[in-house]
Parts: sequence; C-alpha cells; structure tokens
Amino acid sequence: MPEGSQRLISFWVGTVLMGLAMLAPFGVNEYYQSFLLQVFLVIALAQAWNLISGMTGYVSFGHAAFFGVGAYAGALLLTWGFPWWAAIFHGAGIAALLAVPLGFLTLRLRGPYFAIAMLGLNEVGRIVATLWVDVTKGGTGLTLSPTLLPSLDMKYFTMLGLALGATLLVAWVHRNRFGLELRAIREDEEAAEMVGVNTTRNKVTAFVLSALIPGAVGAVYAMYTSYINPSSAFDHARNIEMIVVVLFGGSGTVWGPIIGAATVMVLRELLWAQFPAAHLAALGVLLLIVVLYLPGGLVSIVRERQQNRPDARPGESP
Amino acid sequence: MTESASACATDHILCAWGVSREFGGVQALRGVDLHVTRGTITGLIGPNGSGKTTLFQVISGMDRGATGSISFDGEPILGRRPSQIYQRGLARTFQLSRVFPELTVLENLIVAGSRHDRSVKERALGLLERVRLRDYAGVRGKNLSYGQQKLVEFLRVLMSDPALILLDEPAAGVNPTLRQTLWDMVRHLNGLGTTFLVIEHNMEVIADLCSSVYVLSEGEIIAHGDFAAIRNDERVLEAYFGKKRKPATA
Repeated sequence: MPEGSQRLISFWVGTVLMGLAMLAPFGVNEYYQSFLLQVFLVIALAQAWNLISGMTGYVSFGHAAFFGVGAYAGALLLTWGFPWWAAIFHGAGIAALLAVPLGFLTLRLRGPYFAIAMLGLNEVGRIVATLWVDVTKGGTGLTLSPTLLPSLDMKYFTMLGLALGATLLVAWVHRNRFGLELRAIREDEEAAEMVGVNTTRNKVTAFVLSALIPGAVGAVYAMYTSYINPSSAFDHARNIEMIVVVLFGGSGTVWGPIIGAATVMVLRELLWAQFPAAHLAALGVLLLIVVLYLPGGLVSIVRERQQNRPDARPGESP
Repeated sequence: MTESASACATDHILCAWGVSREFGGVQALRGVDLHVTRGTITGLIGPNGSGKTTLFQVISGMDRGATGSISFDGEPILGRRPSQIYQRGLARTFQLSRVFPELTVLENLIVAGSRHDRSVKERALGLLERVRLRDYAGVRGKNLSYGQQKLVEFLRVLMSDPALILLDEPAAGVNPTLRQTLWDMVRHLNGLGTTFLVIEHNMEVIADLCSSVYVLSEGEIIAHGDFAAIRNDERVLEAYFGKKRKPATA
C-alpha cells in the first residue's frame, strides 16, 4: 500500500476514534468514563516512554519518576491556590526541567546501566517524597479538597488531550529529521555520531520531551484520584506498565502504544472479572507469547504484510 | 590554534604529529607523524594489528584517548566529537559495514546529509542513481547484500560533500563488479578535488590509486613515499614477511 494511502487511513481511523472518545462522556456511565480516562493515561505514558526508549533504544525503567514529580507538583500547586490547568502546566514544566540535568548525566550510560540508573531515580523520588514531610506530608500523603478539583468531564477531556498530544508529538517526531536521527542512534549510536548526528543533544531533547508528558499526566492523575502518597506517585508498577504496553503494541511506532494500551487495559478488565486471583499471571503469559512470537508487537502483523507485498523489492545481489 | 596546527603546510589537508594511543599497557600507536596532501589519494598500509584502524578512530574522533596533535584544514581536531569533525568536512567509512539496518537506503543517506539542505532527498536519490541502486531506495539496510551495504555506506559519507574521506578497507567482502564501481567513484571524486586516505590490503589497488603511501607497523610509521619506493623498503618487507628479504629489482 502506498505511503500516502497509509497516512490517509491512519488519519481517518484516528479521527473516528477521536470522535468516539469525544462523544463517550455523553453516552456512557461514570464507570466506563473512568475506564477510558485510565486508557488515555496509559496511552500518554506509553507514548512518552516510546519517545525515548522506542525511538532511541535507551530503555528507561524509571519514567514513573517524572509522573510522580508531576503528581506532587500539581497537587501542591493546587493546594497553594493555583488554578487546576496552571498546576498541570507547571507539573509538566517541573518534570521537564528536572529531566535536563538528569538526561545529561544518565544518557552517558548505555544498555542495562541506563535502565538501572533510571530505576534508581524512581526510588530516589519515592524516598524524597517520603522524607520531605514538611512539603509532601510524607507517607500520610496529600489529600486534595473536592472544591479545588475540576469535574470528571474536565479531567476526562484533559487526559484525552494529553493522550492525543503525546500521540501527535510522537507522529511528528517520527516523520521529521529529528526522529530519523533518533532512529539512527537506536540502530548504531557510534555510526550516527560519525555521520554528523549530535547524539547527546538529540538524546537529551527526546528525554526532556518524554518527561514533559508524564509530568502533566501525573498532575491530572493527582486531581483524578484526589489523593497521592509516595507509593502511588512513584509506583514501580507504572514503569512496568509503560514498557509492557509499548512492547505489546509495537515499540518505536505511532500506533503501537495506542493498540497496546487499549488491548492491555481491556484484557486486564476482562481477566480481572473472570480470574480475580490470577489475572496478572494470565496477562503475563499473554505478554510472553507476544514478545516471543511477535517481537515487533501487534502492529508488526500489519507491517510484515506491508513488507511481504508482491511489489516490495528484496535485497537481491545485482 | 596550536603551534603544530599552524606548522601544517597549506597544501596539507590533514597533519598528525606524535600521535600515540595506549590500551592498558599495549602501545597501539607510537608517535605517528602523517601528512595528507590536499587533492591526493594517500594509502595507509601495514600488517594486521599494526594500528591502521586505531589511527582512523583517533583522526575521526571516535577514540578521544590519544595524545599528540592532529589538524584538519588548519584546525586542531584531536579531542573533538566525531559529529563536529564530520561537519568540518572529514568523513570516514568503517572496516565492517555499519549501515543502519532498520532504516531504508534513502533514510541511511538522508540522515548523513545537512539538516539545512532542502534538496537532501534529491541529492541522495542522485547518488543512488549513479551506482544503479535507486530502485533500492525503500529497502531496509539489513536487506541489502554485504557489498551493497558497503556501497551505501560509501554513498552516505558523500552526502556531506566532505573534503577528506577516510576509507577503511572499502572493498573488503565486495564482489568485483561493485568493487570496480567503488574505485571508479573514488577516482571520479578525486578528480573533482576530494582527498582520500585509504586503508587497503590489495597492493595493486594501492599502486594504481595512491600517489603517496604510509606504512604502519606495530603502531609506528616505518616508511613513507610512493609505492615504488616503499615496496623495496627493507623495513616494510620485514614487517610484512618477518625477515629480511632481498629487495625486488623491477
């Protein structure tokens, strides 16, 4: 299928899904609305992880740290009298600012060393939030007064906007020169540097952009749950969730995190209802099957078909 | 600019003085002095493990642990990032092909072109046309034959229109047809003014292409001159064959 047709299909599928998501609050009850909000949350976080780890190959096990920073920043600013939307902007900004020095420090490391450094970062965030009692109220956590919070509809549309914004950002990066350079870094960082790619600048830029989104999402999450504590804000399970969703859908692609988030969340709901004691194990087995037999994720099924089309040229020797 | 850099003659595009590199007690390069004249094809030969690729790593900025002094086009470059050196006009290829496997052939070329060049795609397609690989523009790097990958890697460095290209055994593992295409392009580009420093084991190619040859052995430059002179140099023969031989008379 020509590239133009693929883009057209992507555009219309995206538009229809977006239309349905916009109309959903008027046709479903609060349970489903909350479920969709959580799907959007996972999509936004997965796209953020995809931006740094899927595009550059630097696997982060600690992006929940930016989510936690955003959650605390948003919650604190809200209690200090900032409007909810300003708290979200500041949550994103603080996470991104924090990512600048952290990016310069951690992105010197490669492979498992980077992954472990990021894992440590999440733990540092949790410990700081626990020990800085004067500001964070430590393990007791922060409870947000309902009078300060936006309505469920407003939180729903804000999270939808963040998922859409994160997806459009990944799509834009994917198509432009910056994205091409990130993919070259993922393939062979030394060779990329050797053909003029400023690998440090590109990696840090991708890292900062990928911290911006969890920062904003964390702030909305704090408003959605109206309570956060160190364990919920800097939750390691959230790190795993981002990775699982992207691997399930397809790493380094635009649609992968969306398909992965929708599939994982729906499966989780269904399995949780059917097998309350073993739903996580069942999900784990499913993930194992996908990783073993579809290392490119669910989107690779379509991609393989594209590559195996009759007009695709093989790399035969001349 | 350092004293050494200013001492580099204007017709020398690349000058190296006293370049040394040690790896955990192993002296890979020992005070290497090397000068490449602008517009020439210079050969760099030597037995396996003599330090040729290490010297390329140091010149191109991929190994920044060396001592000494290197200037390119009058500017000191030792310790600079590879991307900075590339943007100044010094490009290199690798001994083993390093195309980006999941990028298409066209993307492999575009990523090496200037960010500010609006016609970068046309330039890439033009280069592919010249070596009859245009039909492969949409094929991923990993799906090319090894020879095609080496050719794409060579085209990739041409995207920045470099003044000096370091070629590290560009014809190794390449079939005769593609090899001829590659050497024809080197001659053509050299005719247009591009300078080359070439590592090559095929002495016929070195004799045919290079106006000047450096011989590296155990990290030291042991001979320098035209091919006719170095092929009869006793130290070169000893480095290659391990014992003193009678120099050839022809």
